[in-house]
Amino acid sequence: MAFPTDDHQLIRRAMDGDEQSLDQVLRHWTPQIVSWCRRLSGPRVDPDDVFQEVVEKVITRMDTLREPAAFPGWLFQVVRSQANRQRRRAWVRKVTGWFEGQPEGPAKGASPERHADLGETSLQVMAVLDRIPDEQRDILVLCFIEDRSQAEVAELLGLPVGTVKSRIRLARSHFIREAKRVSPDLAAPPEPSDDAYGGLLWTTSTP
Amino acid sequence: MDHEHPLKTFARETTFHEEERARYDRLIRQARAPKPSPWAIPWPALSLGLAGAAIAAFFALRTPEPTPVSLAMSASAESTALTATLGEHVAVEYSGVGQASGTSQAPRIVWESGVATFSVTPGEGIDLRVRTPEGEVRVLGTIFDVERSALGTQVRVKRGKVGVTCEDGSAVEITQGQSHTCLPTTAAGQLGRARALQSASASADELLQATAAGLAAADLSADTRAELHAVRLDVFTSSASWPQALEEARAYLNTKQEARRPWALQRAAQLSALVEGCGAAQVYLAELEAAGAAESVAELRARCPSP
Repeated sequence: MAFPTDDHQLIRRAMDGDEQSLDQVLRHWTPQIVSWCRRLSGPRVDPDDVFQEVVEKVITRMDTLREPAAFPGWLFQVVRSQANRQRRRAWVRKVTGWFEGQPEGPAKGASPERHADLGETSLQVMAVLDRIPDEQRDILVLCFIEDRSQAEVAELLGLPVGTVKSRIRLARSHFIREAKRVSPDLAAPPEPSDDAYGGLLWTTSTP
Repeated sequence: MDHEHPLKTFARETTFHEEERARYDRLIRQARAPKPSPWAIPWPALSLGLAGAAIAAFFALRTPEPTPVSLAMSASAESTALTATLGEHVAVEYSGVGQASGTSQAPRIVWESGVATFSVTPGEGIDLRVRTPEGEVRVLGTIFDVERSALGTQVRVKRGKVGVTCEDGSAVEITQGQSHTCLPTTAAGQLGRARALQSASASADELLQATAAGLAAADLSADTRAELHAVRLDVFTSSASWPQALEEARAYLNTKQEARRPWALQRAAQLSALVEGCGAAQVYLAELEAAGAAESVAELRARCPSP
């Protein structure tokens, strides 16, 4: 899966503070940022909140980027850290709600209002991803959901390919275990898939 | 049946779509709006604050103390829409009449007429409710319009998801791009809706539905009953449904309302002559003549002389 733009000159100009170039970079990358926000945020977080935080970070910290080629990996880390930050905020809200004796209110709990466009299956997948450690969630999103190659994921995360491979194995077994807890339907193997990761994820999980 | 891989379903449903572009462009513009630089915070102050940071963070993340909200909203439809904020997280742009009360965390709006667009910051636990005579809208983190007119209350969602409960007991949840209309439940409300539909050249079916609902309403008064029959008389006349039109003319006359009695008598005379013959028209012609309105039915009288 290709990234939206690899125009290093444009990214360089944005890094150097050119407002118009920054606008263009943000516009080119909006689809990818939005998708990452939706996939990494979790059920209690509004992905649009994460999106706004990410955009603010890109605007204020773009000049800290070392080189244009590092932009995709840097951006992924920004989305990841902002999503985790919102996750923690949501968790604190939930806990303070308990202390105040409030039931878990609609804005504080797993909220379909925040994910109005998602069906039941996607909400279940999101619930499973929410139960998985961050580094494995990254792998699941990049490899299994976005169909990226191991080399691409390794470059994006700044890891050796061998580490990515071992994390894929860990993430896969963790996902299957948690999926069974969230929904037996979700854990059931689907029809055979052509894509390597989907097959890898499901075929060996058949009881 | 093809069974889509759950992760594929998730990938598909979380993918950005080009039609969402405008919304995200707006979020980018908001994020780019000038804000105080974090580097303007003096480092010594930060150092002093470190000791209490954990406690401060705890309180900062709690739901803020709600402040009372009170606002009379009034802007004529012809003038430019006005804007107001109800606490920190709710903004409203309106041209119409309403009243806001409650608190910043739980604003309560009574919306009487016109259009109001509410914008609620997501993730802040705001419990906004907008009430109209036709229903109530509940919302958490979204942007939506409420338009109240004689046709009823229409809710249109621009972003997020809202729950709408109509006075007739029906409840729906609508999401981005969808709308829902709560119809009036009172007889007078249905009469207003019927007249608005007439002005909008709505279909006969819609008009008959609205007037039938009005005639079935529990709070039906004699005045309203008469006017509802008058609307139905017009509808049936327009569609050349003469027997039904005659029934409505007679129903109007039976209400004993004087406001448009000569008009209804004229219609009843013409329709009864057409549907049942001159004999049936005599009673209406005689009443009109006794009331000094013989001229208005002179043509009909020529065709149906007194027995």
